[in-house]
Amino acid sequence: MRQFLLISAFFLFFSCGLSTLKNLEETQIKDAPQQIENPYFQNLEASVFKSSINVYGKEVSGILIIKKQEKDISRLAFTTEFGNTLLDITVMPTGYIKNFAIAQLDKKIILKTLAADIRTLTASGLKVEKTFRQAEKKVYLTKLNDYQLFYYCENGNLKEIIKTTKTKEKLKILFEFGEDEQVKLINLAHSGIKLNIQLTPIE
Amino acid sequence: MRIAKSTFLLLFFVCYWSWAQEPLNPQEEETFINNVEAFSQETKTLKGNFIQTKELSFVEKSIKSNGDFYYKSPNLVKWEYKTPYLYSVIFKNGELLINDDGKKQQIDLSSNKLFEKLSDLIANSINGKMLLDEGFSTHFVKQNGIVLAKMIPKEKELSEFFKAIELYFNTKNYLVEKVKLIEKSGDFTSIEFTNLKHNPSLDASVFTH
Repeated sequence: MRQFLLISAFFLFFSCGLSTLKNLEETQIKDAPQQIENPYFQNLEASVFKSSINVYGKEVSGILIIKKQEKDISRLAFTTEFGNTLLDITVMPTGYIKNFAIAQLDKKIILKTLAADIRTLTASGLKVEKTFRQAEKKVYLTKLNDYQLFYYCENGNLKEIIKTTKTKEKLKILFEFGEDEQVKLINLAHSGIKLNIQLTPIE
Repeated sequence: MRIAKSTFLLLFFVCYWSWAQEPLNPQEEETFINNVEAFSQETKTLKGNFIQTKELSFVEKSIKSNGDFYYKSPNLVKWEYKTPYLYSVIFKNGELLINDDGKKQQIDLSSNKLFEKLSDLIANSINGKMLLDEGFSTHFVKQNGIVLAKMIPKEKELSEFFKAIELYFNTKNYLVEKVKLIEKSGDFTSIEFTNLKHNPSLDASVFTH
């Protein structure tokens, strides 16, 4: 019985460990910034994306417009390709304001998830708490509300953001680059729910 | 100084005259509707290019896209975006056939009321038949060789989206040259048609998915 409890405790301990940390080596980075910036959402200009949202196998496409209004406030609109606005929300530091949503999308879970994703994507000025290395990548740990955000940078480019609780990964944001070193695709993949958002910059 | 003032007044009135909107009187309105109806009866096919501009209050720049469209009476429409992305939709036999840069999808319009309404809206605004739709309260104004039909949707399904839909008709040939879809917030999408061809021959392959 005692052996069983020990084995259970062992598995519990390791299954609770954050998988993100497994391949990371905490280390000092000489040129580490004090605050982390997402270079793709640093200024107050609107970004326009052709977007594809896949939720539990169902795909919805449209145009996503994201505009930072202040350091920690953004506004987003999701429209059909024909231009009709389906959703318009202002993402606040800890919540959101619904400006407009069609009935089919006017659901708290949808608005809250989308607001949280955009808050993570556009976050800036977050204090770097710890630094790590993963092969050639420099990794910076910051905190946003109750979450940890790991920023993976390589050759000066932000390549990935991983959002976690203390024990679980919640969201991975991958930045893919073209030959001209410009971002060609941003992929937001959720871990707990079958939700994937792909953003292709069009302007 | 006096010359400058009179020049200014003259310019003001010229500008005012050229932009002034004058409502159609009941007789003009009836004649105009009859002419549009006759024209849409004659319209078997249409094709042209379009420039779409989306204006959002919180975004300084306009969001533009453009492409080609094809219409075959009574309700076959292909809407093909060419820049800044490749995306086409065909409204055909109660279905919406989407080709998103090679990724194909088929949506049954009866299960999606929003797209069904949009499909009707697009087909009927291209051929002008929307003027005959009793689901709108419409008033007409004329302005520089254009008749502008300002249409306010009565049904909840459309009024949820649009405060008004404006159709700009060329009074020489009764073709719709511009459609403006104004949302409740005041944000709008404007679609301008260019190189319009009336009754061109259209190969059946245009509407294949």
